[in-house]
Formats: sequence, structure tokens, C-alpha cells
Amino acid sequence: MSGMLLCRSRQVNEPYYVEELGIYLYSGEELSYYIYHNAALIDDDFLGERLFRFIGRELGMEELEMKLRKWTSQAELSELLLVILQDIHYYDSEELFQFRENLRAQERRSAGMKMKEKADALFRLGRYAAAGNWYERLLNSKVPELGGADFRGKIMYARAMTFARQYDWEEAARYLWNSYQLSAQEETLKSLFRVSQMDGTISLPEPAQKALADCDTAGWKQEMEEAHQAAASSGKAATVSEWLNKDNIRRGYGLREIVREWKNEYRISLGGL
Amino acid sequence: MSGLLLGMDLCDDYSQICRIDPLSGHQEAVTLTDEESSCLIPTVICKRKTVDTWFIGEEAYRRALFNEGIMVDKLINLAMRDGSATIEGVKYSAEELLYRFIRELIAIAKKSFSCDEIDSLVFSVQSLEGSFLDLLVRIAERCGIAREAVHILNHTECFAYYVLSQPKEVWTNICCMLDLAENGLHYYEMRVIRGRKPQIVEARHEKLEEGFSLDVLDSTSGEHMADTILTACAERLMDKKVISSVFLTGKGFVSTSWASGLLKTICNKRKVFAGQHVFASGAAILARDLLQEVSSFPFTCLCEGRIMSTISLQARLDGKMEKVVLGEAGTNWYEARASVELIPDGTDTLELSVAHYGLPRVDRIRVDLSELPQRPNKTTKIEVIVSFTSEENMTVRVMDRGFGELFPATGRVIRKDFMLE
Repeated sequence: MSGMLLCRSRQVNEPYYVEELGIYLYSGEELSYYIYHNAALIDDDFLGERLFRFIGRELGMEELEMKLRKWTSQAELSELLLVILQDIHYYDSEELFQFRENLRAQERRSAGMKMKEKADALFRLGRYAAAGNWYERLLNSKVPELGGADFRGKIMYARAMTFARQYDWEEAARYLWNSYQLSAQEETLKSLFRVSQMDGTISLPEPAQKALADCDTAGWKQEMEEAHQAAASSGKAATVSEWLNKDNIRRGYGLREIVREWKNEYRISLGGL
Repeated sequence: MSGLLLGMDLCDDYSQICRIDPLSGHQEAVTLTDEESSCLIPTVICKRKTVDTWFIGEEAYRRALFNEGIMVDKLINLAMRDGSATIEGVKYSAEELLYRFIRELIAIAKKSFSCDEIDSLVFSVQSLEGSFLDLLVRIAERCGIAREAVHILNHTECFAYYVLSQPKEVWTNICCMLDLAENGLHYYEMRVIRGRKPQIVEARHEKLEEGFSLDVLDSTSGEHMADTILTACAERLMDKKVISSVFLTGKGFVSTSWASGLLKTICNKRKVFAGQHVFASGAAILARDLLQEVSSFPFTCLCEGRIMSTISLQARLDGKMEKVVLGEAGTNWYEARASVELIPDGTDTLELSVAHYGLPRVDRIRVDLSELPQRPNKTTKIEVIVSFTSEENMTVRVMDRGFGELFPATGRVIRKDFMLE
């Protein structure tokens, strides 16, 4: 349905803090968006006093607050999430239907898959330390999926990526090699090669070196160099370059903003859950 | 309510200030001194030589006449032109001079009624011009009056409020007014259109070409000529109209003894009133009405200075389509400012409806939102601000408010100006 949604212009004094995202929510619309797009991150702890107070006092939706308080102990989490979305009216019936389907599919998933989804969601949000913790928890769990080499290999790979995003090349290389041993994917070897190139001091195990010797590492190196060159003139590098070309005052302001943004991203990436 | 409720009429020749009782609604004009009986205060200011002492009104004239000070007149015109005056080598802006004039007027009102607070002040001016109105608001704020307690009306609106505050038989049919002042001859006319809810008040103003200098009235032959001119005007303007009452105001009508021909023409089965306080009283009446929980004037006033169209948009609230009115026909353009926060859903166009009063046609005006930052659907909150620079010129500003910390605002603004025909 296209058109305009009228916002409730209520001033929020105490916004709702979402630890997973490291941000505050200031409106019912933002709360709906968070629930809709991050259902995998939401567990029973979400429906607590803090949320009830935010909905009742800050959003002025006392009826919804009362409903949630009353039904929390009786209804399923998914049902209550739907109640919140319905009452806020940010999503239309078609979108709510889709959300319900996604929740049902989520509920049908195994415990292992649920943990993986949560970790994946945190990874997508840039919360690498938190995602890493969940992958680790999954690897140490006794979920049946871990019996399959392919699944375990995937989780190892994902765990390696969380280390790589935190510049811990040595640990990233260790997990990648473990993953390769389980899944034997060439893509994993390629990642291992890249990680080893990022930090020349890493000593790969002999079998890993052997496996790499049989690959087209020259071609991969060429690819990496090309990617580096492309990165130097696009994305964040291009933004920095744009600011560097501005006058003194604007340059200072722009660069400070970028550094602030990067610092924030870094802090979020380190936040563990 | 414990403070004063004041109406202040500001004209180039004379100004007036009127206080209205919050309970009874009784109006009382302020005079500068106990000796002066006239409520007409010359809009002049005089600075005493070598001393930073200022006089206004007749006292300013007297000081200047005795060469005790330097006088500046036509303060309104000077302010509208954003002019200045140099007194003893010091350049004073028109705003500064008008501020001193108004400050004195307010001080006199406060002293007269032994009250230091002002709860509501309504200015009455000949016409509403944006920069001049801003200047008046600034002056009022410098005088210690809160912005929300200050309102500005034009003479036509004040006339309408004044008439509507009179017994109903005064405005059963058309009401007219002739304002004979130094700056010319003005004709006002208003009528209430019944059968609609709310009832409509249509008022209009016309500056007549037949205006003349009031010095003409200093001689008998001049008086005769003036009477002839005004009689002809009245016949032309009021012919074949069902008129309930006629008001005469302005310095020229302080006395009506010279206007026997005019009176004979207009007194034909009509009520005729002559007085000097129509605009200041009209402003004071509104000053009181603005503080009432329920207005005593449940009318939509359509006249110069008021927007003639209703501006609205359609938006969903709680899943239901709602009409959001951003500007209503009959609102003073200077005060017609509204804002609303919206989230575009599957559209990059803001569409506003313009319903013109008295016409079946509804126009659609569109603002392209594609210049706003590209984000996923429904993750851009926009603030739509509608304001006016005259009764016909509307400005729509769309500000990017982002979507909380999920999608931070850029503060980008799209501005479009529209002419409401």
C-alpha cells in the first residue's frame, strides 16, 4: 500500500536501548522496524519491564502495555511480537502476514539453526565479538547438526570471519584451516591465503602450506591487488578522498565525522553479548 | 488571567491603544495624559536635545515646536521601508524608533491600569507585510511580551471583529465603514454568510482614489467639497445594497458636522456610528478572545490577509486514512504555519490538496521527494512544514528526519513555493 504514514508526534524522554544494535529507539515505528528485521535476535528476555515501560510511558500506548503484561506468561513470544506490530500499525496486513510466516519458519528450525541465525544476524549488524561468542557457543553445544562435517565446517568458517573482522589474523587462519579440513571447500583455502597475506608473520601448518601450493595463489594474489586498488577509489576511501579535497573547515569537520563513525563501528564490533 | 489584554492600532498618522476587561469585555481607550481626552496618539517620537529622553504623541510635537527636541514622524512608513533617521549625528533604525514609541505606549497602558503584566497584545495595522510583521514581533519581545501572546491583524480583520462584537442587528446584513485619515480614504465592507457551519464572514477593503488631505476641512468651502466627494462615494459604494449599519472612523470623522450630505445619504434606514476606536477595539476584542477556551466568534473569516484555500494531505494513522489539514481557509496567513511528521510508504512524492473556498475544484500539488537520501522503504521520516509569505504564496518545506539511530537524519531540506490562485 503506497502513501504516507502519519507519525505520532510524541516526545520520547527515555528511549529504548537495543543492546544488539548498540542504538536507542525513539518511536513505535523504529521499534516495529527493529522487531520485523531482527526477529532472530529477539528472545523471551525482550518482553520485560524495560520494554513495557517504553511502550506505556514513552509511546503512550498504555493499552498495549497492559495487554503485554497480562499475556507475557501465557502467550508465545511470536504472538506477542505480532501484537506489538499490529497495535503500532507501522506494517500493513500483507507485511504482517509475511512476518508471521517468517516467525513460523523460524520456530520450526532446530536449536542449532536458531543459534546460527542469531549469530549470522549479529554478524550482519557488525557485532563481530557477539557473533563470535554465539558461533563459539554453537560449536561447544551438543546440537545434532554439528555431527555433520559440512555444518561444522560452515560454523568454523563463520567463526574465522568474526576473527578476521577484528584483525585477529592468526585465529582467523586457525579456524579457516579447521573449516577446510571439514568441508574441503576451495573458497575456504582462498580465504586462508588472503588472511595469511594480511599478516606475513602467520605460520600456517605444513598441510595447509601444501594445500595452498597446489592452488592458483598467483591468481588469488592478483585478485587481491585489484581489490585493493578498487577499494582505494571507492566506498569509504572515496568518501575520505572527497573530504580531503574540501576547504580547511569542512575537511576538518568531515574527517572528524568519519573518524567518529569508524570509532563507533569499532566499539559496536567489540560489544559482546 | 491577571495581565492586561491590549489592542494597539498603528497607523502612520495616529496610533491607539485599547484595553479590554477580561471578564466584562468592556473596552477602554488609553490616553497619553489625564488632560488629553482624545485617544488618537500621533505616531511621532521626539528626542530631547543632548539628553537621552524621548517623547511621543502630542508631547513630541510640543517639544519639537519649542525647539527642545528633534522629531521623527511617519514611523510606520519608515519601518516598512526599513529606513532610519539621524538625530544629533546618531543614526537610529526605524525599528529602534518604533520600539521606543511602542515601549512608551505600553508603559502608559501599564501605568493607566496599574498592571505590569501583559497577557495578550494584538497589533492592528493597515496591511500585513512579512518583514514589518516580524519587526513588530521582535519589538513586542523586546518589550517583554512573550511571542505566543502577540498577534497581528490588518484593519479589515479588526473591523470584522469589532462589528461581530456588536449586537446582531448591527450585522444582520452588510456593514460598511469609511475611514477618513491623513493617508487617504478607505472603504470596508463585511457580511456574514449564513447557512454554513461555521458561518463565513466575508470582509473586504478598498483604498479609494477620492481621498484628500484633512487640511481641506479647515475651511467652509473645503468642508462642502469634502462632503460632496464623500456623498458621491457613498452613493456609488452602497447603492442597491442591503446595509444594516455604517461606521465612520478616522481623524476626518472626529466631527461629522461638515458631512451633512453624507449623513443624509447613509442614514437611510441604517444604523450609523461614528467613532475613533474601531481598529484598536477590534484588536483588543481578539486579544481577549484568544485567551478564551471557546471563541466567541465561531466564524471563518475570509478577507485580505487570510488564506482562501484549505491545504491538506491524506495519511494513514492506525491503519485508517485520515485527512490532515495543514492550513485552513480563513486563517491569518502570518499565523498559518503547520508541520506534520510523515513516513513515505512506497512513494517518493508528497501530494497536497488545495481546496479553494467557494469553488468546487480541488487542486493537487506535488513535491518530489527523490532528492532525499535513498533508504529502504518506510525508513525515512519527513517533517512537512507549510507556511505562507502572503495569503497567496505558500511555502512547503520537507526536512529529512531520518529514522532514529537506525538511519540517522541528514537534515536535507526540499523547499517549494506555490502560488495559490
